[in-house]
Amino acid sequence: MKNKVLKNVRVIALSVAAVAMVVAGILGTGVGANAAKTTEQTDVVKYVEFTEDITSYLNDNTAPEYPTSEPIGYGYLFGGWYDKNGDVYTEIKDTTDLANKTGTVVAKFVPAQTLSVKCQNWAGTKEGDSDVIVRVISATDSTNYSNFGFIVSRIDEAGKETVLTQEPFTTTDVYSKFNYYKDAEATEPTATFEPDDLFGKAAKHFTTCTVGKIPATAHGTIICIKPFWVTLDGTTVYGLSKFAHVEDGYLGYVNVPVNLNILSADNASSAGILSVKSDDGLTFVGTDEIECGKVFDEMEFNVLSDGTIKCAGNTSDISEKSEMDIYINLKFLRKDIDTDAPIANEFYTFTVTGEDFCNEKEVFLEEMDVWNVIY
Amino acid sequence: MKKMLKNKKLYITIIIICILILVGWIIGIVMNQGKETSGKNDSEQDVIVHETDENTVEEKAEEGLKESDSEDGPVLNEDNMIDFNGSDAKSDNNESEGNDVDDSKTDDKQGNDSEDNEDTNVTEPSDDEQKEDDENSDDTGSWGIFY
Repeated sequence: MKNKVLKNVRVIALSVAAVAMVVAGILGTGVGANAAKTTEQTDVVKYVEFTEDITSYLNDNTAPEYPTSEPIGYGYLFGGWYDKNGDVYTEIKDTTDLANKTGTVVAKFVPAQTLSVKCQNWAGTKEGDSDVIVRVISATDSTNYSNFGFIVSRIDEAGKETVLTQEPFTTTDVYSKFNYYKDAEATEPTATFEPDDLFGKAAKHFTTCTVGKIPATAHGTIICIKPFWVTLDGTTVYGLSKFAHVEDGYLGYVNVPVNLNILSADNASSAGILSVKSDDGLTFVGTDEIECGKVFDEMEFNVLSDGTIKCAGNTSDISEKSEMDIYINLKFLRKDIDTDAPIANEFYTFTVTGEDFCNEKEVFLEEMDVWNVIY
Repeated sequence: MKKMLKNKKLYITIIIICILILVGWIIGIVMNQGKETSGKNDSEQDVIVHETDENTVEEKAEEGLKESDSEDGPVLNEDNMIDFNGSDAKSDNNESEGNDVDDSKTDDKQGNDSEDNEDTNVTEPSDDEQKEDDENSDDTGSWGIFY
């Protein structure tokens, strides 16, 4: 009896050992080793080698287009073509060079958060003030761009959009530090910020423009800002648009623009749903404060008990809906509005889940890039 | 004899262990290959991704963006300011050009004569505002909270 039990124990022990050895062998090949890689790398600039012919992106050298970041996952924006000489990357500065290039060409991709927008009012701006000035800020990862710009428009209550300048505002000036003053009378800044404090690790330089003479009656009017950079070879790349309002500055609102990147003209969407979940630290203001974006004509939403905001939109005309733009703007209240603390060195992340978009034939669209919003 | 048998058993055990690890290794390689192939199209298979140290990227300072000496943005003046009221504005639906905002309401609190400004859409600042503008003309401004 004792021997039989011992024999059974031995068989079980040997079987377990055999399985363990097979598993050890599998693990030795590295299966499962890279599962947790993605999150940490989303704020890093990446260079992707293209060994195939890239002249298809040049569009006859008149209006260069650019590749999507599909090979490395969406959520990145094109930042220019580079030559790789050993370990040194040199930007290719014009399309002729690019068209004549043989061999490997490297495309730079920058985290989309870099090319997003934040705003500041003149310190001390309050309700009822007229001729208010707003500073619009974005960032770049390097000075290797021919210029940087903003398309600024206002959207009235009826949804009519008016672009404020005939030509987009452009600049070649970048800055390394921006200040925050709690009071207009203060002689020293309350805090000083560097680009990566506000726009993620990849951001190295600020860019800016100002919008002025905003009347007291327009503090709640949507100011729509679309940032862009132009690479040295002349490619214009649009970033994450933002809806801003003067009152956001003194009421403590955080606007969360959910941007859609419809990656192909053939993929113009006619309807789509998604859900947005906020980090702790922000309070959803309410359904009256949700603003329909610029992709769909109609939006509906539902706030679930766990705070998730479920959004659905549709549009009748999809003819011009083939580029990146705001799907919906959600408004939250910042909890630290009465404290001395500005938004410093911390980001609120709004996680987008359950994206499901279809075209007019109700065909599911796979090539849709919806970014989590990092505020 | 007994010792020889014991050694033989040891050798067989070692060989079995090696075979099991080898089997596991082969299974692992097959699994890795399947993982690399699934979900990739032809163009992706040529892609090599690098994450570089910024020092390995040449900055073309003479051609690209210029780092300004200013600590806190450009000097604030009307030349580099976008007019919200749209003296240079265009409507995206081509219904109208220019100002869509009723400026006549905007200056009442400051006591300015709004009717005089209707043609130009330019608002004259009050004395206090002019003083403030002058004070800030050599400065980049005191900007409030980021939003």
